[in-house]
Amino acid sequence: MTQSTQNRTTGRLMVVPALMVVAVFSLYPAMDSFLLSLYSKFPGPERSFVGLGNYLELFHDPVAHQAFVVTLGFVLLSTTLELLLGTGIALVIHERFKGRGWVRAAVLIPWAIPTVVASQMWRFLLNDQYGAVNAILFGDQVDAYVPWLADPWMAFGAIVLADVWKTSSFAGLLILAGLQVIPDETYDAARIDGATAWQRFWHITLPLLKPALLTALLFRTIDAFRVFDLVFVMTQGGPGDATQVLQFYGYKTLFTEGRVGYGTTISVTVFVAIAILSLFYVRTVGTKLMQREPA
Amino acid sequence: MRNRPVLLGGILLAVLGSLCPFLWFVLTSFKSQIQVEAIPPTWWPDGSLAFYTSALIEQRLFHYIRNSVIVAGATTVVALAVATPAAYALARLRPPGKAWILVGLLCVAMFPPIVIAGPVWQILERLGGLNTHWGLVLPYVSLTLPLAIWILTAFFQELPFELEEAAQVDGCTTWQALYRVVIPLAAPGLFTTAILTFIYAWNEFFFALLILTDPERQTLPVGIALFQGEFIMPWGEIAAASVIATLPLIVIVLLFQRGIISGLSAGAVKG
Amino acid sequence: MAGLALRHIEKTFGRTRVLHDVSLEAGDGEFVVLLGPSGCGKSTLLRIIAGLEPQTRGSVNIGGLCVDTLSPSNRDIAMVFQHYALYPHMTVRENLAFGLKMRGEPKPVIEERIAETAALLEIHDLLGRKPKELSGGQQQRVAMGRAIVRKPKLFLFDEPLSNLDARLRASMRVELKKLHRRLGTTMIYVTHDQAEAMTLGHTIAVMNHGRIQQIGRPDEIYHEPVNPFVAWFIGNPPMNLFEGSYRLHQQDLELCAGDLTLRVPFQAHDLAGADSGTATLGVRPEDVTFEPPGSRHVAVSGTIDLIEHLGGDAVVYLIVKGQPLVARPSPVLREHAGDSVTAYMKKIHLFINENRIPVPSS
Repeated sequence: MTQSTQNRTTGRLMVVPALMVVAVFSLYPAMDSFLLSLYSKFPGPERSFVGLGNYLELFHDPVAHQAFVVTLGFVLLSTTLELLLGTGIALVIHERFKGRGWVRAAVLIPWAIPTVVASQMWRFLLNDQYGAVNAILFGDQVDAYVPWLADPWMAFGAIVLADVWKTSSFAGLLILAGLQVIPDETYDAARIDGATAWQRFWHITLPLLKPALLTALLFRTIDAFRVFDLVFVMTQGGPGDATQVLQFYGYKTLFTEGRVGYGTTISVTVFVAIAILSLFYVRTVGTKLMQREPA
Repeated sequence: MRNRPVLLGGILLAVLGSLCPFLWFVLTSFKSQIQVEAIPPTWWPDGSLAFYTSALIEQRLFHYIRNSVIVAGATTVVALAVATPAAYALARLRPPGKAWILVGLLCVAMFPPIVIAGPVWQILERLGGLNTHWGLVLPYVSLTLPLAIWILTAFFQELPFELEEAAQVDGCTTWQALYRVVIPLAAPGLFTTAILTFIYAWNEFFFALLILTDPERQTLPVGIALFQGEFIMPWGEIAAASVIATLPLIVIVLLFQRGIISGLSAGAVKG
Repeated sequence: MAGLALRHIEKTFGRTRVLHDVSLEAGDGEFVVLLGPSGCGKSTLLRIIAGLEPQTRGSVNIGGLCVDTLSPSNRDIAMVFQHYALYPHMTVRENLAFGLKMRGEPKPVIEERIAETAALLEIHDLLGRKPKELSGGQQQRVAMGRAIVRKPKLFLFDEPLSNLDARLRASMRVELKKLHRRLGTTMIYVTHDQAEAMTLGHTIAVMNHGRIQQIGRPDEIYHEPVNPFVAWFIGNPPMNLFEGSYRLHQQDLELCAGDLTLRVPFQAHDLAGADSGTATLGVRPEDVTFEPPGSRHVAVSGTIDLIEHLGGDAVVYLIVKGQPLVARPSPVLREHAGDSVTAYMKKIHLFINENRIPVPSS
């Protein structure tokens, strides 16, 4: 046995346990879900194959429509804001100044806080009677206090706000990594070339940051599609169906109502939506990265 | 040469925006019930620890803490034990299909939890894993493996290859080279990965909610999400429990900020 | 008159002072090299000239105009960076055009200048490529092109050749020299490579620990270094230096360094200071021979430790009374390692209190 084939065997041996775990607890369940979505009931004596029947039902389900719109709106709004704020955060914590380590740690804290805690926190901050937001906006004018989470639009805004607060710093970190690979010399050269601070940002920083921005966008979009904790704790999908996101709707159908076939159909739809988006992003990011490789 | 006022404003905004909301929760946890229910709200607490004692004793927070420590700790140990050799092999030994494995793992990391939740629940039901800690640890390991492997692969790739060659010339097998030379050198990377895995498992809510229905077994996020009072929301206790659940994370962030940042960017950007 | 004048430049970073009272002038069209080991402050000085770094004290004049309050872009300079700093997302053409565009030059002018520069540097074929598709030498050319295209009053170079391999570096050195002759613009060039400095500079300013040690023509710096640092830093292999206590006699000066005693012909009235003290005595390896030269010399006997053959000549490592002595004799010697020989020092440099004391030479 040569050294290299021996290495290959050892290599396989080292990878197999990890792949096994992932196969059993992620890959197989995902494929199983695809199958389940083709049946009308929990696999058991009276389950029946309905083909794409569940998907047809989904197509005509007004709540599902609402959930799709809400999810999409949530994804668009929160990722846009997170990318903007994240870029700002990255620009700040990229600078050299005294106490930068502390600032970086402070910015990381929202990312580290459990989502459930962040959700309860915002729910309390937005409380109609005891909440700090009302107190800051209206002070002693108790009559003016707004029940934020009881209004459909405000409630939607609230989950976006909570998500942006919690995850902008993560987007910021990914963008920071992109900033760090731009050498200082490039900025010096641009200054000598006569670019103002704004021109340097526009002509140098932003184009060179594109791969990092796309990565951040990809990660944040996928994550925003999977939003659950915030909705579960803050609004339970309400008021009405104003914050009814797909993942929460799927959870309710699947685990509260026990409609396995239809619930799985919703989850598979989320999955497919994410897959299509990822593919789209990865292709753009991928080709962008290819162009940067030497010929 | 730099615009100092703008930078200072940015720093202030970032820090205050990040900390103030949570700070208010911290203040709340030290208030008395009367203060919490005051309209308009009072800002400064009178330093009462009543919510902490009631959260710990009446809401039995100790159980939740213990369960979270067990689940997050076990997840971290198992995930690292499985991910380390896999990442090493991917970085160094070039097993067939290396690129596919890495890309595949990235795809798996993007699965929405709900699409795997149902079947995982069934598997665990069959294995008797519902309402057990190991029943939660197994899916957690599977969910944290992709990121762990990505970060560790990036770390291993940065170590000079000559070191392992030297070790092999000195008579080490591949496994010995891994444990005697590579792991000690990659310790910072392993540590960062451990921290990220721990934070994930400590914070995870969705699977914990599904798999652990018995309050005796539930973890902190489930406890905090389902806190119930008799008549009104027990905001003081929720705040106290939240502070307790968050405290270890804040300590981790303050101590290992540097490692966390480099680890996250290694997993995300170098790929 | 164009050129550069630095007056009493000081720079501190926090509490560390990296530049002490640096004054320097460069005439119109002059090629001035700032030479020194890493960390001596030469790059900081260049960045101060460029306006990328503000000085703590002192003033910078370019072309007779005080530019202290001007931004880098308004100083009418161009700079070539150590790592080239080409904009990776722009083609070569866009890289060349960027500075002109930022200045609001009209399109035809930009096109014309690019064509001119591309012809001068023979980079026409590269205009459509991105920096990553270029070799190191090509990137170097583009970096120079980006500086030239702007037609600045002053060129600044920050170790531009240090990332090239030895062969390419030598040929770029020659090209740079030709380029300077053709453009006739003032150039300030930072390097730690003394060979580069000697071949390129009209004037060399040797720096160490944030101070200018000596300013002069290359031959002045080589033949009459003002202090032991300059003596040691210029020349390869470096000058042999013997530090010890000296005593002045009627016709000579006696220096004791360890077991080695050297007697140097010397006129007492040349020395204004004390009759005894500590001194440093230096001799270049090129000035050590194994055949007795003319009248004035100092002879020492020792053994050959090692000989490095370099093809045309050789470097001989001797041990003389426990002290190392390096010789680079020409013509090539016939001795071997282990042989006992007598070595003759032709030209002696003497430094007392860090200052050069002239010694009559042969």
